[in-house]
Amino acid sequence: MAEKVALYYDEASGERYEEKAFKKLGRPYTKIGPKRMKVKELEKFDVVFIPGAFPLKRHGKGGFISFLRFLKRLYNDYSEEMAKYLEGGGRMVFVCASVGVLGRSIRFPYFHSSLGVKTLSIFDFHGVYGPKIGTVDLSPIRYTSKWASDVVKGLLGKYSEEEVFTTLYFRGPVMFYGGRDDIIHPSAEKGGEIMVAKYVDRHPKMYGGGAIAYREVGEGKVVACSVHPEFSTWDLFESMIEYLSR
Amino acid sequence: MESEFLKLAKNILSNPQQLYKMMALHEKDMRVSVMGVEGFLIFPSRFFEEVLSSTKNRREIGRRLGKTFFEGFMEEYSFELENLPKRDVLDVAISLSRTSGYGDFRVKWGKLKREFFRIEVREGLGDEEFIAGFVEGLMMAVLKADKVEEVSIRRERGVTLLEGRVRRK
Repeated sequence: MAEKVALYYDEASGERYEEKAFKKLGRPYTKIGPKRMKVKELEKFDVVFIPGAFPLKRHGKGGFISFLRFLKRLYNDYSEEMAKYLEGGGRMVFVCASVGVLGRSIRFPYFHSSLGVKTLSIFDFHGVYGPKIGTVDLSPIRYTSKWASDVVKGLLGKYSEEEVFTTLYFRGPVMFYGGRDDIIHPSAEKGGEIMVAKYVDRHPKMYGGGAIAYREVGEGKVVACSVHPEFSTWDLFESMIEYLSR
Repeated sequence: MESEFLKLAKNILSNPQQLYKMMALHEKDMRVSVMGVEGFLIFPSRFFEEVLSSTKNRREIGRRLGKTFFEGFMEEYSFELENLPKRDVLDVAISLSRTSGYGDFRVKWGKLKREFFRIEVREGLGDEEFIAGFVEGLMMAVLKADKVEEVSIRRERGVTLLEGRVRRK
């Protein structure tokens, strides 16, 4: 457990839940603010977590404008630094809302638009922020190639053996490629980009959509985790950290 | 955010199937975590009934259980619960108690600003004294009160009504 973990925070971030998970895992972590989102700083850590953000205001933190600002900041202020960090071998985990900016496009369900949020195109998926809060059922995706199977097994740990496992969901983006049911990336069996788990939730806007994705970028690795494992499946973070740090 | 959390909490804690899905085993000490709140044990309710029948101080046992039962949630979600109306927090506590099998409780009314509450029990875990103590304990946790004036029990058309008054810290 020697990996150094960083956790980003700002005025809209919801890092509190990741902190709970790290505490349960007994894993030390360092909180880094906007000023430390520089390659030189990021390189000090083995894995950098970017948490979600709250679209509603609470305790003077968050609110929809801050939430949009949080998402826009990921593109406007950090895209170059994060790209350099990843190219050079950095490892990152994006959780819930922050996953939205990783793909080719993002859409907000009630507005049917991106609300001016630009995406980083690190992944090839398209994302739509989800319609519900509560528990969701996920299913690991089975692949035939060793590379892909190893990624699923490595990132999901013991949950990769399950047909279905349940975790908490808080309106994170549902991911897909061409059509809504298309969640297998062309490079999935060979190395590149892969959807690791999909939603098997009954909600028609979620069923079959991608829930956790993984991509190798240069020397680096990125996980897009659109659910919140912190409440009942926090050991998912442990398997992610261990797999990314290999 | 508070309303979103309340929606989430009600959705999960008042639905037995959802609550069951949010339980996890802490592999170190094999205790159960319920929606991230750790330190729960599973034991047969018959054992519990035996404990109750062997003691005279059933209200005190209920009070201590009710208090520790919900205090964990109050601590884990202090940030989310802090700004919620106390009546809503009481609703969550009562829902969780019902889902956990302590009895069929409903908040009949709760004018918590004026420190009065009334809870309806259609079916409880056998013993009225225990249930009254349990509700006292829940109220102490919800309101962070150091004292709840003894909850009175009365029956009305086959329903047990628990009424009480709270003194805050």
